[in-house]
Amino acid sequence: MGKCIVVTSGKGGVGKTTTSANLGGGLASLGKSVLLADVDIGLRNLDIILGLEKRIVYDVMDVMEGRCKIQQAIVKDKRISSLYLLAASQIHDKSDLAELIDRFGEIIKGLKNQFDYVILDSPAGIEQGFMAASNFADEAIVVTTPEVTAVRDADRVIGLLEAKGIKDHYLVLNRYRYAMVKSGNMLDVEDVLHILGIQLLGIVPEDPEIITFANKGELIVTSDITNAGKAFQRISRRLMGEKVDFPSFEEEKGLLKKIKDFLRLG
Amino acid sequence: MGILDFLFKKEDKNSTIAKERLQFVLTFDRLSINPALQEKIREEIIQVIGKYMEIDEEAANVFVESTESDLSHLIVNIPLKRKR
Ligand SMILES: Nc1ncnc2c1ncn2[C@@H]1O[C@H](COP(=O)(O)OP(=O)(O)O)[C@@H](O)[C@H]1O
Ligand SMILES: [Mg+2]
Repeated sequence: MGKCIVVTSGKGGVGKTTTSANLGGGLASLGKSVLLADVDIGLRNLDIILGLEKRIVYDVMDVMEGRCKIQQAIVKDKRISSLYLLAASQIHDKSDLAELIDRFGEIIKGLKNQFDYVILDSPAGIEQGFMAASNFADEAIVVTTPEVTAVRDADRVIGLLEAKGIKDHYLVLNRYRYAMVKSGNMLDVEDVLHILGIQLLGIVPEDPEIITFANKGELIVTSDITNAGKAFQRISRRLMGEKVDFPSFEEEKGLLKKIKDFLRLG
Repeated sequence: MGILDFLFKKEDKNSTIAKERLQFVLTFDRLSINPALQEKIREEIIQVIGKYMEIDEEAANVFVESTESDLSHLIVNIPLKRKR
């Protein structure tokens, strides 16, 4: 029996879809079978992040409303052999999912029998869409950036997850800028963890490569040379229970670090 | 605080300001207490205590404080009027 993990945030645009996709890709690269389900109904994104947008025939609402069988709606990834996608519907909205909540529960249960991990990319907010997505999850990943607004909204989501009885929830701190933290201009990871009282799954640095990979429809987790890619690889291993150190100042590989390395060599 | 610390005391870091502001809003978010409700609680507590003791209503203060531990405390500070 697999595990269902919901990726949530409260505030929009903080990196839920990026995290879902790369965590899914990371786990699949480590040999697990993974189904990524896009439940941000009306705002389909995962298909394009994975580069699968041309292959989608059926979506999750088609399955829910009986227009196709679940197996017909599941699309295999082009590059990672054990990664699969169930796309969101573009023409429906969040309330449609909430109305068929029992059917959605059945579908998740069926998927958990088939895959090691079922990852739900949930919509922003704390309304119907979030409630439906988190209803059947065994664990939750809360994504935030180190900004006051995002952290405040994350706190609200954590409260709701606890109220739902989802005790296993972890934090992904995204778009972390080591240089800004160092100069005292950004909340540091300790502050955020202390404020939210939640376990850290990983830190993803701000990395422009995330955009260039998204443009190509490729997952950055497959790249061993990008900071964000390496961060998602570590996050995937931690989620599987491996103890992986938290490297400090990952981003320091800028000019300053190069100079330091050079001086040490010389 | 040493004399040097005093002389070179910097302004609060930007991130420290962010942390303190967040802790303040979250205390009330988590309790679902808005400032208006807080004022109502203050008035009622003062009213009850005032029935039995002579208090300095102006200086009375009721507030929530979060400490380094995970607990938040409701602090009630009501000065009594000196009696002779
Ligand atoms: N670590 C990062 N560094 C740089 N850009 C990022 C990072 N994480 C996310 N982004 C960008 O932020 C935007 C929102 O991310 P997305 O994953 O779609 O958020 P959400 O699903 O929470 O709305 C995207 O354009 C994405 O490329
Ligand atoms: Mg999204």
